[in-house]
Amino acid sequence: MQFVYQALTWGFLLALVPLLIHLINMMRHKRVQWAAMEFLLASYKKHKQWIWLKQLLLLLARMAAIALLVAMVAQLKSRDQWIMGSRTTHHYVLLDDSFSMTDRAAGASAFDTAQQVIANIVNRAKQEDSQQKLTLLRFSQARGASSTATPELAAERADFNADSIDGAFDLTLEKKQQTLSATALSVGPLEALGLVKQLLSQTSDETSIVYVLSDFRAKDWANPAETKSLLEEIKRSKADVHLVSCVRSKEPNLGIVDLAATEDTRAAGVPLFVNVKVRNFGQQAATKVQLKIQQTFFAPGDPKTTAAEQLLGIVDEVATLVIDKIDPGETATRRVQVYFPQHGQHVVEATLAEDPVETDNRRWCVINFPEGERALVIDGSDEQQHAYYLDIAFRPLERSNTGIRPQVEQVSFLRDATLESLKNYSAIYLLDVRSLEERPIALLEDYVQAGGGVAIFGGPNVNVGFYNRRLYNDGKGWFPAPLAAELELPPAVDPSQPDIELTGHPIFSFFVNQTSPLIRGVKIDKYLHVDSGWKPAPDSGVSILATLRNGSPLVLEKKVGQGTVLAVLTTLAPTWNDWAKNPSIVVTALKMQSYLAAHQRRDDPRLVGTPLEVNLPSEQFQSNLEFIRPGDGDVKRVKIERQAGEGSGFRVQGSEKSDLNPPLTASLGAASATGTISDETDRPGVYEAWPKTLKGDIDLRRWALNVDPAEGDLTTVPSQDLLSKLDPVKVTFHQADQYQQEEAVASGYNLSQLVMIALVCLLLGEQALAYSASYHPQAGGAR
Amino acid sequence: MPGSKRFLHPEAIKRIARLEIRARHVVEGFLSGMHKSPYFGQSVEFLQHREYVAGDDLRHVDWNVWAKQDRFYVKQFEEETNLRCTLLIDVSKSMAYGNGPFDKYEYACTLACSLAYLILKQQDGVGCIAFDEKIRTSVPTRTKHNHIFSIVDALAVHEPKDKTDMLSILRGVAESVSRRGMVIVVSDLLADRPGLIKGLRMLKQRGHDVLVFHVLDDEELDFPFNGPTRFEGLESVDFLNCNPRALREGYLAALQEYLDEVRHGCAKNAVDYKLVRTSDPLDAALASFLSVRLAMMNRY
Repeated sequence: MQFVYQALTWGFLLALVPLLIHLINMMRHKRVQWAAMEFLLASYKKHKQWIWLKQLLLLLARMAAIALLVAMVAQLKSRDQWIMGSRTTHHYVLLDDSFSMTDRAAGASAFDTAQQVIANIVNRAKQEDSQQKLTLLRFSQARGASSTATPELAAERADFNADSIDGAFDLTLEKKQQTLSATALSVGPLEALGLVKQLLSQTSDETSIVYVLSDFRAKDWANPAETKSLLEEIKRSKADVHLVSCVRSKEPNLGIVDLAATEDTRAAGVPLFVNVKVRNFGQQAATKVQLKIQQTFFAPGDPKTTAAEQLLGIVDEVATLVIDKIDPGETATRRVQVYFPQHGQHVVEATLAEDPVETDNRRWCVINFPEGERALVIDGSDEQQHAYYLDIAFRPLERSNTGIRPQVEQVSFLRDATLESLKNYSAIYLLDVRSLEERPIALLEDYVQAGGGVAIFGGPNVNVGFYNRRLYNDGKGWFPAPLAAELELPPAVDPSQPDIELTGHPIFSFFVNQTSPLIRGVKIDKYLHVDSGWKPAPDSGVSILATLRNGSPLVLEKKVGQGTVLAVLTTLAPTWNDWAKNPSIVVTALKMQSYLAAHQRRDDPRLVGTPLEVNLPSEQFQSNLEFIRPGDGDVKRVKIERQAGEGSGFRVQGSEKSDLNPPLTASLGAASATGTISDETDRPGVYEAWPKTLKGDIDLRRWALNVDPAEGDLTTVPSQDLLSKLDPVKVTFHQADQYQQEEAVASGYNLSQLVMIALVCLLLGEQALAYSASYHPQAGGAR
Repeated sequence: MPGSKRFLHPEAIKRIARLEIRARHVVEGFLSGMHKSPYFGQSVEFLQHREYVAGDDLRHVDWNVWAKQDRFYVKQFEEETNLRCTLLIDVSKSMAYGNGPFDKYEYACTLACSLAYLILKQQDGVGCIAFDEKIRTSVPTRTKHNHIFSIVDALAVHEPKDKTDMLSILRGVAESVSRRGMVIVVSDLLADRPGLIKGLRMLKQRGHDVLVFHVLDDEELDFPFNGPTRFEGLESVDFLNCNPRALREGYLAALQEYLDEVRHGCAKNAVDYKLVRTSDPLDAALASFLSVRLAMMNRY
């Protein structure tokens, strides 16, 4: 016999109150000088024993009534087997350990609260008479599990798998809980529920209770269609489902949602802008938000001289920005310039001031700065005058460094080129090229498909028929539009009207925003006219970036695969125009290069928890390599060594095949073959791989693994909304603070109703007894 | 005269004055009045003939009857005389009980004075005896109008005390009041019941018309007590600690048995009995009693 509200059991002392009142009354008799003592004494003498008995019964009844009332209010429970039966109760606890659970209020995080709830569940279960089991599964451990995962996998992933809750389980749980903490991951409940569903399918003779301890953020629970169907299946397994919200209050939160370099050309010694976005996830405006930006420079020669775990780089504080105000739900974007004098994969880090959720206050990005961006320039003219002007545009001043390294070649250069060799160029420019052979055509298409950028400029040498037939090919080729013939642009009626009409494309956006752009002064004399009546098809990937004042397209773009083809239907050299003599050509050329090479510069943003995989040609690299992951506290870098055939994180693919050069694949944070989740990449920060060539050189690779910014949105789903969305699936929603009592109500058999019935019966009996003992006097007396 | 104001409640007496006390029997009296005398003598109203016996006054012989029938008959006349009323007021300790406006003693005194005033107003004679174990005060019967003050004074000076001994008191009254008349007993009758009945019977045997006003307090009749109470006897050293609610039923049963016994004894001896609550209006109590009495007298 137990009570839901143990503290109220002190109320049983109130049962002594009737006795106390009786004793007090015995001491505080009212004195009455009475004339008719004769009748009183006669009555007393006659009913003495019966009166004593009735009064005793009445006193006991009243004491019992108070005791029953207290038992009812304290909610008497029974776990007696004759009531509950002897079935095993299995508690399935699903613990949300995403980083939003670190939401800290009043010194305790939601995760701490969840841990407390688990302890409460175990404590309660220990007091049960029947056998109790606990299965604890964290959301992070269930990630990646498909809906068809086997029960064995579910058992493998669980922290506790049907462990019996016995006397020593407290200690076991405490030890386990000390190792548990909220991760930096953004994981939802789906996979965990899927695994529990699998576990439930194995048991049929148990009373199952599923607890979901989470913060119930809108991100995961606002549209719980899939969750609902999983819960429905769990309910079908006759399990009770309790959703326990561990969030105490709504806390404001600021998070860095993005940190990325702009699309400008990257090269050692070339300053680069980095955009950082801060979002206010709270309900009130945030003011005076401090944002610290720092960069870490790694000298190219460091890996040779420094051990992997000691390579810290040179950290410089770039800027400390103060954002005056960020309205609720708004994102503020700030731009800072970083500069790295030498090539390499350098790191930029942004940090926000402390707030309830720390995890999303830091963000990293790794920016790959090559020594320079190589651009292949194929000039079809005899004098290569087009290349000359492009070269000047890429290097407008003697000392200026745009980071672009143009390489001017003849058309014949493409004849011997390979795709691998072309990939060394960030962009390829075809200037007034008459035609191409079949192999270069296919090669360039592969290059573009793989993400390369090709810009084609027109000119007098261009064979329109070849371009239409082989490159445009009725829209199937990679050239954007069919060409007609070269035409002269008639003089403008209005001299102030510019020859070139621009769109807001990134290449020309610089001019669009200018009030008096230089490009308005460019004069176009001749151009290649596209077929009359041609218009870009909606799904062809072709768009017109600039037109002439007569409406004829001048600059076109076609997206091919992952790459881009630009067609400028006039000459680069001042043959058909005077653009090359206009300063705007420099900006246009640099922007064009930046745009064409964007895909190759594309950073590799990764979320924490993503496995890092390194593919290495076995003929060049050793089979052992080192990974570096962020450490904790004083240990900033943790080295993990991988050996072929050792550990689950390192695999040699194709080693059993007859392939002469089997690639080596090493990974960090990948699940093992048995399905065990690895937490090696669960910490946000900068990761490195240190593969060694057979010569002993280090081919260092660096990644930034950041948290999912959406997890920082602390908006929760109100319980009523959630329950209505889950309807008709019957689940019970609890607040963690109130859960201890509610949980007690849920388990065991609550005898409150029986107690209430007994109390009513007792009160009726007491009244009958009191009535029979003349405690309810009838009107009137003797006559 | 504070005493008279204390017991003579004018409002009550004024209302009673509208009613007439008509004695059921003729009581001896000196003065002619409204009431028929139980004695036969010179009177304007012939009652009956009776055969002459030796010793009868020859002046009463009806000679006309002798002349016609040759037998001696005497004429008897109904004599109208004053009512001689004796009020017996119980002033024992038990009469001191009461939680209403009046305790039983005050109520009894008020009732007695009201009756005395009424009787004196009818030119009848009234006397008063206050008693407990013995006669405490005795006021002789008078017809003077200001005799009421003597009665009031006699009652006012006595506080209730001691026990009640009804038999010796009633016996004493029966022996001391030679002339037949009306005896009105105002008491709570909390005394030896056989002695009470016997005493009343003795009064009846002496030819008195006996009226009993049984005065009890509401609490004595209803026993509404609640909560632990220590009852201490007014006329005894007995006490009882009890929860009165538990004893109420038995108490009321015992009381009812006692009342029934008293009623039965009174009825058996042709004694008029009226149970009066101290909360009952005086006029109502008297009026109801006198109405009953008038009805009984008319039957004769």
